[in-house]
Amino acid sequence: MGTVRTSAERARRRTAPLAVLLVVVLLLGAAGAFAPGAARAAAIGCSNVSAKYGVNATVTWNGVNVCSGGSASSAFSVDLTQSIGLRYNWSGPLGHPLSLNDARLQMFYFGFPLATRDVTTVGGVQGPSGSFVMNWTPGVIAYVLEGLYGLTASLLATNGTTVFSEDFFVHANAPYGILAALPILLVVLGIYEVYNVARSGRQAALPKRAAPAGPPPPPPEPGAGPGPDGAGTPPPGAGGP
Amino acid sequence: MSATSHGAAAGAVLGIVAVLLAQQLGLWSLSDLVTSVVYLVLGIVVGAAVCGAIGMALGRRWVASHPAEPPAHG
Repeated sequence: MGTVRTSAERARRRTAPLAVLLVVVLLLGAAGAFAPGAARAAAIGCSNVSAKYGVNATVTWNGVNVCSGGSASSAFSVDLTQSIGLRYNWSGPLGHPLSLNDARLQMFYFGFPLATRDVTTVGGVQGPSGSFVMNWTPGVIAYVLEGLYGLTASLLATNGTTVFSEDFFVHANAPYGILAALPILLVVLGIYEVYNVARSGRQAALPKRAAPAGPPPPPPEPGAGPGPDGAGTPPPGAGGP
Repeated sequence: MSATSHGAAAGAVLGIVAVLLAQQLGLWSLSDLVTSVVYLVLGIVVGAAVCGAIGMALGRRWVASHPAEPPAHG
């Protein structure tokens, strides 16, 4: 009897969604194991000196040098609804005064700047050393995004050249921990897709039910010409002795 | 649409969702474009393969537990 289900079958049917959830958890765990933070941190370093222009600069994030957030594992934990204070202190190479007019902070997502903040001075700051003070309030993105982001703090000369830049990471916390639009949307979408995977077995029955049960097609009329493939009624005299 | 392709399609979306959600939960950063695309492609491939296999297994079990009705005669 095909409709009689044993207890083992019922138990397997109950455990199928759990198996799917287990696969999702394993995928997330494997994803965490391949986090690129350590490799990128080794490439960043913490020298504070631009190799090409010899500019010695220090950027602080709420009083802490951004060098200490150079890897994903040591990212600054930040509440994006709060104001953030950055200070750029720089000094040029000995005997070579600089002319800087722009301190820039960029937050990247998929390689594109998600947010850019600039502090500029008209004519630039000329001299052997100087500083820029930036206050950044991310604003509305705090209610859209959370998670780990790479930022770049850079100093630009009057002619537009980037004379110093430093990459670091921040872990942005949404209001109340989870109250951001994108993670909520992703969680809902993930639950729906897990439900879709768990119900995918029922798709095996659909082709049989969807097969049309109409009448057979009528036979071709004797006077009709050949079909598109040339397999119609043979011409008179063809095929005879 | 077969059970395998249905599971694979849902798994591909699930792979993208897993990669984006992992970034939102702070497991990794998607700031670099090349790294992000590699992670998304890996998520799509792994999700489609795993969930396609799950869909195939569930489809076979569904067919085994729901045999087709015999055709009516007369």
